[in-house]
Amino acid sequence: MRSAARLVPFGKAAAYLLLGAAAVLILYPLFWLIPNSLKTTAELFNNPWSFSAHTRWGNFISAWSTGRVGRYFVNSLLVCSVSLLLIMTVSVMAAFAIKRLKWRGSQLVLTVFLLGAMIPVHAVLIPLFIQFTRLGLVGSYTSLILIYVSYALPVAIFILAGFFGSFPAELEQAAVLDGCSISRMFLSVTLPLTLPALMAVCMFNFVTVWNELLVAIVFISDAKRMTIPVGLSNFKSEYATDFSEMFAAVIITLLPSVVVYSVFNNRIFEGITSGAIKE
Amino acid sequence: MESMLRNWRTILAFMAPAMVLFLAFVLYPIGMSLYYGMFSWDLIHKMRFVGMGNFIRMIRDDDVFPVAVRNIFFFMGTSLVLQLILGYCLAVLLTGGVLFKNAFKNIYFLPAVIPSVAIGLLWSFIYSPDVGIVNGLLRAVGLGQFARPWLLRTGSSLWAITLTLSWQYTGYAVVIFVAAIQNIPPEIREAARIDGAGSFRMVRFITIPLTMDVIRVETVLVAIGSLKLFDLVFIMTQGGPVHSTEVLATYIYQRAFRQFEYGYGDALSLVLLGLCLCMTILINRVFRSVRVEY
Amino acid sequence: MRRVLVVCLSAALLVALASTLYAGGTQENRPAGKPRIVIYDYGHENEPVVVLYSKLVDQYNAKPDAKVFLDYQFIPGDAYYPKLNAAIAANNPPDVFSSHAGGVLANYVSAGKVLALDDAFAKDPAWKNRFVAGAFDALSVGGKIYAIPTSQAVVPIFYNKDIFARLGLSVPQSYDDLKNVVSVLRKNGIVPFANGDKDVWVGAMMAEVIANRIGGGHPYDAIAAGGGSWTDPSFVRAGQIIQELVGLKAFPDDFLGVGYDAMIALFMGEKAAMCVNGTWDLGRFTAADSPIKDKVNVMNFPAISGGISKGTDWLGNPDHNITISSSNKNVDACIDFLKVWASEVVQKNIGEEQGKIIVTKTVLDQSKVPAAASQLNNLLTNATGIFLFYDVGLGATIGQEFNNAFQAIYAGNDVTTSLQKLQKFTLDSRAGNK
Repeated sequence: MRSAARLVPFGKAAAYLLLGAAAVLILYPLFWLIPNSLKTTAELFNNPWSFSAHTRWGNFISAWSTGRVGRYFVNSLLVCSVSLLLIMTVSVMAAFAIKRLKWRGSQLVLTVFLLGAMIPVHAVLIPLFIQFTRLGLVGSYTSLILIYVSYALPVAIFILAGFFGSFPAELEQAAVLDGCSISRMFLSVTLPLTLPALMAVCMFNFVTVWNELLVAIVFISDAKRMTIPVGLSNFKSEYATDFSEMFAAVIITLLPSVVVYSVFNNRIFEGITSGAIKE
Repeated sequence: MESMLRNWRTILAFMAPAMVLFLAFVLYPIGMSLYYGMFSWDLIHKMRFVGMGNFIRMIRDDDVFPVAVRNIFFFMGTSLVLQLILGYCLAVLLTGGVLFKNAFKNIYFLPAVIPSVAIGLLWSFIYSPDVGIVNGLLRAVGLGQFARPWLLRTGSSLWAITLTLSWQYTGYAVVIFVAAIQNIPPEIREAARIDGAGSFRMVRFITIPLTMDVIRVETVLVAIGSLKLFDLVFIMTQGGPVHSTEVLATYIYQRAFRQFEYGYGDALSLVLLGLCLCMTILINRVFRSVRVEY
Repeated sequence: MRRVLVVCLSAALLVALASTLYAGGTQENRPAGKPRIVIYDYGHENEPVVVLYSKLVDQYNAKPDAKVFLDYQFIPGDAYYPKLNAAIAANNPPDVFSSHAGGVLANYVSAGKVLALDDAFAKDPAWKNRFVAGAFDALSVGGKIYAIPTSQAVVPIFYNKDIFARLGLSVPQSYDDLKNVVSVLRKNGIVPFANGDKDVWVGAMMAEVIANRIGGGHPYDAIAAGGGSWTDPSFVRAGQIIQELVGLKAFPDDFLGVGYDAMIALFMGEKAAMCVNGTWDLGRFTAADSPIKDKVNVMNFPAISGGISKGTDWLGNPDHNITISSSNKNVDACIDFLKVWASEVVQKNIGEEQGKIIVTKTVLDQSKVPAAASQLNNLLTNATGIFLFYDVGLGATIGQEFNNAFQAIYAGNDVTTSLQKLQKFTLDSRAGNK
């Protein structure tokens, strides 16, 4: 005990040092972006560490318009919102059916979904591409949305099923006894109760869908329809010499993620930990 | 009420969307994947059956395939070491009663929500030989002779990408481990402390064993994530120079979508699927033998 | 909480609605009743040829007697052929599309996806006669013509004449001269060739020229005809010369990571004195805002002693060719549009403003043509022929593999082994395609 007590103040200082160092390592590259996005590329090459003499907000404006980042933004927003809505709706309905309704295959189906969680979309990208080509859906937002939703379902259903399992069905049963149909009960009792878990699923999947690159690159080639990750990946070649504008674009694309994160970070943490810890 | 819960129409109505989507876009494509892997197709001519030809070519004639496989295991190994160990250490420190715990947690996790593309672009610049931070810092402290074009050389590019990958996801491990450690019943920690356990012993005999399940989950996540790696490599090096940083996902993309060898690309993706499944099973097996009862 | 949910849902729905309207907006100007012709093209938004194409489409659509509405879509970068092929495979091909010549085009011909233009030429011989002799050589399969070229591209060596003058260098006339030029440039801290090989086709261009200088056109022609072998001595020697040049540091440091854009940046930033590149970029080098606009000139890759060719064959291809899909239902209207490209006005734009080599018999006002282009035309007066880029002539699959094989050679791998692997790949690929 004595050695532990003496170690404690020293240990605490070392702990803060380590933690602080890690924080700096994480944050510094991100902060480095800011002054560099406000310079001209020439100034950037001269001295990457300085702040510019005259801040060029114009970099952001041109990244948004001529750099098309504004367009990508809207596209990502569209794909994300529709996908998230569908993910939440479909998965909560399925989780409800598995956990609250009584039927013989429910456990089996849950296991099948879990197995599906192990399948990376990369591994079936080509059959999907062929399938969608034959359906004439390649190049449409629909293809992205269908894929994102389908591959988010296993984990979402798992999390929600776990959530349903964690509280008894008494409130819902009471509603039914009062004369509700299952659907009404679902809408007015179950859904409100599941809201926190739904938000967690929503925010967690927002990050995944917003940042997704491979599927988007394969299925979307029309410059007008690109989502942010795809658009940004083209940036590197089109603006090979104009780095400052590229940084401005990077910052613009970072912002939504950072904003959502600062508001919903706890929900996001819930989303990932409930998947990991309740196993 | 029982009958309402068993009403097959209700069950169908609630399950149908999920089942339809899952069947149509997950299960069916996997079946087709096994089928297409035996063909050669460029999209505009007819499909041509080649049986095991694609797999034979992969093993016998393909120079890039072994490199790609080797690389994803490299990333897996280094990521497991960096992210798991660092992540766990930071998590232990954070749950050891420090101030600003949440602030630290929020900071560490931040890169994980940023699009990988943005991170790739940012770090491409950080590694830039002339104006990047890395070389700049080296020169500033007088170690300029170590400065080099990190992403353009065969050896250093792999490590450079690893570093970026860990920068992005160590925070993820921290968040998961913090939650896991906080889940340990406080009575156990108290009991251990009373028994005279110092910090190291506490971690070794209490904390780690009791969070083994979560460590297992995170190991699987990191391992599979490394096998699937695409974004960073694609943005930072496109698999170069000369395929030295190629990973399976980028190679599949190249073969199928740039050289129009969809059948071969599909065969490659079957290998990726197989690797993911094997690693998941393997990791679970290994951890099962280390299980702790209390 | 419920209110928040409702607000979020409505916001999401609004966004979805707004975006679909936004996305569908490109169709606003479509006049009702006219059939829509979809055109696929490749290139970046600000590329001169894309700008020209858009303008011609707009002009056509503005005509009161236009029989169809042209919907022009361009897809930048690598995504072009994947998208095109996906559309074809979905039985929803574009009506008109751009294609590279040679094997790339032949691929579509063999699948029956492209319309032969001979009938149209027969109906309007004047149109066909506007094109120079040989314009359709690389665009014909089985004796029929399947596309019209919009310009001709060749690959000279662009060089910075100011740097050359400053260092007392003159245009190399032999390979030994070239090696001397390389070492002088290096001694003075200038990168000799801006070419890197991160983008494999860039390095392949130089390899193809060198192979031609050594063995003439025959080894490649044999392969293109279905026979031949990559292990032919001319290819081996070409690989050896490449490695020799690498050893002399003729390329930028860490050139394996230098891509096409970086190469352009090096050359235009005057950090490199030479650049093996196609005339599609001539306009970019001589543009008003180019830093090297008055300093750039062109020269031909010298003959190599012991080699067959005297340097009068040029690597190149018909550029930005336009084809008509076999499922097109408005062939006549599309032919009309194609004919616009051969008109005086358009050809003058291509030749004068863009500095490209034109494929028709239009006479250009030489004072408007960039100096480098004039010089190129002078060099071309002695040209005996044009040989195709291998990845155009042989098609994407084998062609790309060639590019990859030479990247390995650039990286220092054994030349013979790399070529043997390439040969095996070619044989396997061809055996499969029967």
